[in-house]
Amino acid sequence: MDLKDLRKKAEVDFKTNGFPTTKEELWRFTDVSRVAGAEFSNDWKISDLEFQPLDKITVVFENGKLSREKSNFEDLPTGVCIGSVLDLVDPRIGTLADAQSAFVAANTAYFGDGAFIEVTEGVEMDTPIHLVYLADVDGAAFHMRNFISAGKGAAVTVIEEYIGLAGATYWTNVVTEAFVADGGLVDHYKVQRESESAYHFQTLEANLGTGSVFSNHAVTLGGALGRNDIRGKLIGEEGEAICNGLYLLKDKQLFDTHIFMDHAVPKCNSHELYKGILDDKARAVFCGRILVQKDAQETDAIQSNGNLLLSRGAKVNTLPQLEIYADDVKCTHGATIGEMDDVALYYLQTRGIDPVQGHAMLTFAFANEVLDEVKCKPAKRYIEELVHDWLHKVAK
Amino acid sequence: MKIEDEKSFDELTDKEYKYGFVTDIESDSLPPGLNEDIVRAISKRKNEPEWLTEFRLKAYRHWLTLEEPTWAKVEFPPVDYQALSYYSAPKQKVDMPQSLDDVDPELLATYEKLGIPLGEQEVLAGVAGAPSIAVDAVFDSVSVATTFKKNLEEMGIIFGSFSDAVKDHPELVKQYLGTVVPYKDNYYATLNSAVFSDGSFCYIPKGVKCPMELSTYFRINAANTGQFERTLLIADEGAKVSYLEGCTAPQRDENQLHAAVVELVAHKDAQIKYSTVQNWYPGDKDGKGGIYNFVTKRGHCRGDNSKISWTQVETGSAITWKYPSCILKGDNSVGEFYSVAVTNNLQQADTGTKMIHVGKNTSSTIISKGISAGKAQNSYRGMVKVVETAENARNFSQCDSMLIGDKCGAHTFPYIDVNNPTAHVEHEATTTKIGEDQIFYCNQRGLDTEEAVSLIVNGFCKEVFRELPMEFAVEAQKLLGISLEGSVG
Repeated sequence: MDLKDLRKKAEVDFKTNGFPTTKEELWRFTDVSRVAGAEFSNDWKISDLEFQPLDKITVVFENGKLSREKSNFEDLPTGVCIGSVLDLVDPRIGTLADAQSAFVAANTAYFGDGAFIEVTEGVEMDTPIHLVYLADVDGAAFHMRNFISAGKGAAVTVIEEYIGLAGATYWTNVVTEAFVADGGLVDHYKVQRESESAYHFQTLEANLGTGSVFSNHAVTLGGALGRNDIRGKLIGEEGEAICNGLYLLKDKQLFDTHIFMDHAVPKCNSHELYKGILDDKARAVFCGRILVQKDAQETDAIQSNGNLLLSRGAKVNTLPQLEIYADDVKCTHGATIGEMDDVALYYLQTRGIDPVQGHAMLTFAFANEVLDEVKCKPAKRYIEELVHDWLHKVAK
Repeated sequence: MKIEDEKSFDELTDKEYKYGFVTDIESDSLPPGLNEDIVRAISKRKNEPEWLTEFRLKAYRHWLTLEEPTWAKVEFPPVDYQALSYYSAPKQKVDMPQSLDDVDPELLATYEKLGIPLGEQEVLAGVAGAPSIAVDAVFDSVSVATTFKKNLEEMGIIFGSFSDAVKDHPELVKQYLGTVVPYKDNYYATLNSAVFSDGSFCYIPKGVKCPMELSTYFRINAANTGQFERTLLIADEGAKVSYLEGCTAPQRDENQLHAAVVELVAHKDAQIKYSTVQNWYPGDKDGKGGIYNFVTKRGHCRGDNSKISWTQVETGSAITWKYPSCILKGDNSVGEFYSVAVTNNLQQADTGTKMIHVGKNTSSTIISKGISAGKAQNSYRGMVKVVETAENARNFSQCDSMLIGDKCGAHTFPYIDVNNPTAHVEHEATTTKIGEDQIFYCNQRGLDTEEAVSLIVNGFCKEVFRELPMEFAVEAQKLLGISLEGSVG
């Protein structure tokens, strides 16, 4: 099926099936009726929002459309191709994303733009590619489609950043498909700073070839209601998937993370570390599912989810799941939920650190574990800054 | 692990179910099928009061509106509820057995084969110093004899069959029945509420510590008979009781349905320990036959400082669907769940627990060990919920799975819902196999591979076996050995 037919079919599917309800197991904790019940426009305008470029290469989308003026991806090394997904075509687009999902169907049917990144065989790209999505049209829907492909032995770093205008209500619906060929490496980051009243949904799917590495760090700060659906498919031996994340939520934010790690072949590793800090009446949902298929011997899969509750009214639903059909495997998962450790606070106090500062130190230390594995230095600095800012606001 | 010798592997897996035999007793059964008349007939045969008949009918009417749950990770052909017979009682010369002499000798012989010390004298004449066990034995649907009743009566403890309790203590049954597992609870519990045959009833009065382990033995007999046990156990203020439940069933080829309901109520400062060893016929190595075990077990820690502890060793049944739960309503109440679930051949188990924290300073511990061999599927499914009012709730969960062979599956599906920031909830799960180096180490020291596996698996389950009453711990270890026979080469 070519993309045109795929889009037609997706539109029919989406119109027939509509949005999921909380009666479905995968959505039982996340009610999307606010999105389903709202009307969204396709209005477009130049965005007044500002952003901070992390390195030389930036690809900017303002209100759902690529802005060549604000972007900077002219001087690219040979073997690297960056552009709009509307101009550059690859037959693999639409083959990975789960067509059963309503959000994927809506995206496939209606996507208006998105990033296309291809790094051919053997090319190692040092400079990170910074994708910036600016949104400041109230009542609009932005369906963004991204495509990332790393050829054999190729390496690329991609940072997706979503920035929204404070107070604006809009719906961002992203699908990112990443293909990592044998020996390839994709280091992927997502920084979500949508408006506090926006709806943000992303489906990120990655296919991992033999000996390839895909890593994802998802940092979530914004959005009234949001969800990341992440699926890693390990289809070549000795592949490695890393999915780490940090969600910092306050007010009445609801953020949902669903990860599905599919070990289809032997000798692959997957690591997931997710941490959440919740203030006010925020709610977090975490569902991590590891599937080890029948022949996937010598799998090493680790999953961990830690949550820190800062206030009464904050809620967490966590579902770490293991589904294992092979015997020679090492699989563990763990989940914790708790409040600040008074003993640790007291210890710092006895050393002359006042409780407010001690609280900030411990909270940052809790979050920082996730950032330890961030390899891309500009991304790390930037994320640390955001975390500090958030903690500073919460401390007040 | 390598299968060194295909032949010896086959020999081992061919081992027959050791407790499989059918006792030839004429059953006084109702015709197969389920409708309001059958429900009324069951109630009438048991001479039940009107309110209980109504309870059954309400449940039956509600059951008609329900659909069989499909969320568990088990697969089985649909059950034809109209093909089952809902009542079967062993025929006897007199209506009620007056003493052991009146009991059908064949029944007694059956129990003997199972090794249950049913006769009071036998127990008393047993090894000096051996702990006494009061047995309320359930043969199919009717309790045949109750021992130690007198002894317990002197302390005010009521322990006997559910039917007797309905006759002798209707006020207690009426007060508590359906308060922990309401008749609308779930498909199987609702079915049970409509057609429950018999079961055990136990009431421990205020401040009484039950001096002996109370025990009940279930056994399914009579082809095509569903078993619908109903157990109700109440520990009043400051009471303490330890209850044992175990079962074996004869081998047969038709699948048999078992949908039991167990309700526990612990008042202020009361403690209930409920231990189960389940060894029903699991089906043959091709998955033919075997019991469907769809059980609803729930405990309600109603008063402050109360404690309910579930310990289960599940080795039998073709399909196990079972989630013994605790509702921790009283402040400082404690819930515990210790489980070993073993599945071999084509057995499927979806089992776990629910801990609902409602009161302040409540704590719960979950230790679950799943062992999967052959082509079996073993799932842990559990929930820990901390509601807004549950200040300082604590939970620790540990779910370990062991896989023996490369054709089986082990799965973990925990649900953790926390709605109070003062809660501390921890969950850990691991999946492993028996290491070749561990086996090699044992082989070096003169243990053959099967002994080594048994040793390692028993070590893996030690944390749970430690919680079992002594008599059960021995049986459980033996069962584990039998269940895993032939699973390794």
